[in-house]
Amino acid sequence: MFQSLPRTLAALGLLTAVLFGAPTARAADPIKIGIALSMTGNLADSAGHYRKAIELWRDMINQKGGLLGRPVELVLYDERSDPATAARLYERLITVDKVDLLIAPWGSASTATSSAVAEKHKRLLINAGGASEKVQERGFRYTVQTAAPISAYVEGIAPLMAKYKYDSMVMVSRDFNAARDMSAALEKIAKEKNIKILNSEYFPAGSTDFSSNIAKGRQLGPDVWVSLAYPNEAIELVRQFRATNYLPKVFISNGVSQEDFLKAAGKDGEYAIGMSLYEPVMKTKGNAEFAKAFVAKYGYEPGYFAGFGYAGATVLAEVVTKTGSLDQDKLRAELDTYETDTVLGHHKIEPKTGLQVGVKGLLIQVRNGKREIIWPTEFKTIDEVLPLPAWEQRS
Amino acid sequence: MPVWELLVGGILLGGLYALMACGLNLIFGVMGVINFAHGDFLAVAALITVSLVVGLGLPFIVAVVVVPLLLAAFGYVFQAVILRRIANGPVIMSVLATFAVSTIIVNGAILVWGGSYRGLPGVLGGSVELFGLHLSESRLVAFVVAMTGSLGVWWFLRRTRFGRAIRSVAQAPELATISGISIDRVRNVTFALGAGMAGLGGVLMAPTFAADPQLGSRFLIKAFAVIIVGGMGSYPGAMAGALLLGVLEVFGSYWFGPTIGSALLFLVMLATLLVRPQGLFGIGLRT
Repeated sequence: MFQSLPRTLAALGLLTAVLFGAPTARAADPIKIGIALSMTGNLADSAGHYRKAIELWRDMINQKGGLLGRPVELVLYDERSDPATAARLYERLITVDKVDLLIAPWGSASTATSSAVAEKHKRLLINAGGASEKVQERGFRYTVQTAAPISAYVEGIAPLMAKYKYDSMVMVSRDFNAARDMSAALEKIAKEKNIKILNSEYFPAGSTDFSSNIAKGRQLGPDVWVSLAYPNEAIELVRQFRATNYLPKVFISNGVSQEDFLKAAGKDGEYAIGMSLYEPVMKTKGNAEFAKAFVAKYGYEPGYFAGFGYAGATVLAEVVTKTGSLDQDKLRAELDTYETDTVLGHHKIEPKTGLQVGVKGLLIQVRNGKREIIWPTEFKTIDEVLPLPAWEQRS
Repeated sequence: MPVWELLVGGILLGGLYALMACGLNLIFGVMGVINFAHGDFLAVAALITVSLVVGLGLPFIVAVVVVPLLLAAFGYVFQAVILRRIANGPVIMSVLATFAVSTIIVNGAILVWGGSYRGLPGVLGGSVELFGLHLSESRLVAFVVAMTGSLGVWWFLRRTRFGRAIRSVAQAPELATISGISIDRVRNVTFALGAGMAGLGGVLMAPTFAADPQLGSRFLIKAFAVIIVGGMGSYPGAMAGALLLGVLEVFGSYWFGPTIGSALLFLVMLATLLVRPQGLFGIGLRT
């Protein structure tokens, strides 16, 4: 009986190991990446493109053997376009789901709240979807921005205005953090370049009527109308311009740079100018492969919402591969000086704040139902048509 | 200040609000059912319209006829299968039931159409010039339909036998039963009518707004505000309420900015509830 004891103990030990697992991760264990993003609420549409790109990235990296030889698994939650819910869900991702890595939600407001949670737990948060500089300027060590900052959105406006000797603008934007930052950046540029800002106002999320803004625009007669808005608002703005026969010399909005705008605005959207940070035709690293796979999987071309998601995941994967580790402090330290090229362009951060300083902005114009790059020169695909042709001159 | 442009803009916006409130007034104002799914009826109608016109290439007029009928059929089934069974229960039950159906509709619509924005480019997108002002074609049509529809329902409730039956069922269901009125049938048909009107509203909203499964949430509370300010069940009241709120929103946004302009609507709604709960037009059909 006693002769068989060692064998029994060995068998018990083996059984315990099988049942409860070894304390360290096995090669087959997936690397879990946690993200809470809007699947419902007013940011659901834009976050949907961001999510699709990250899911595509997961599929692509898994096809290539995964990360550190392990498959990648996404743990996704719906934060309902609510920053407080986002914070709670990141707490859950860290403490309950025990994910290995974190990517931030879509939008600056939810990124701001979730970054506070990540900081508390000393967890790296890749800020792939929050453009507001204020998110990065709070002194949080663990939040690193791969998304383009607000200043990149607006940097093409002044050169375009200078080219046509336009010197006045109105700003009508949805009220959210990024829009406030954009206004501040534009006001600074306007002061330097002697551009008159005739009116600057914000509308709340969910606004659908722009009668009063258009009446004011007609009265003030600005050369340029700038709106930091989501695609639905950009669609409704151009429709209401057309329906009231109003037209500034230039209409610029980031909402123009999305597929929804092209489809839903139709001919009313022609010649509108979009602030963009990514286009599928850009000759940046990995972009041809990404754009092709995106179109194949989802049936439409990716816009910058999608480009942000893919670039964030790419940078995260590269530093994990380079350090060969999931240690949060090692990853963060590596990111201080890590420079690379992504589908958005060059990635580089300011080490102290984690602010993105490499990615530059673009201006596109809608021409024949497609987005064409008009600025900067190195990415230009077409010469712009300005001022906007009058409604009655369009076919 | 461009007073005339703002005034016309406000009146046409009020027309859209009246259009949205048309069906809701029948369901909420007359029947007393708080239908949280009403906005989603509008959204689904707008999305079906886009699918018919852009997807299948059918003329817009086909959608104007077909979509309200589809929504009316859905409304009939919804009332007959779900709401009828809880009609005599506490109000909270119908609130929860319609809230649940609202969630199902939104998520179902996301599955069918995705979460992206869709539109009807080229349909009623132009403007009509009148005394030097440019009026949106789509809003003008919505305004005319809303006013005609509201007057039509008002006449129907006042002057027809079935209209009187609807009012009897809403106000004194037991007496209506004694008089030989089939309560279930009247409620089913009334709800179907309300849903059909929401369908028509959705069809006419499609050329104006970017449609997505959550379109309804942007308008539902405004439709409730119109009915509360105008007077529950009162169609002339709802028309007046819609125009008042539209004009107030546009002038308020011009003077104080869009945030305060939008908030003014709800301040007026709150003031109505506190000071004149029966609404602008005094006693509506329900008291």
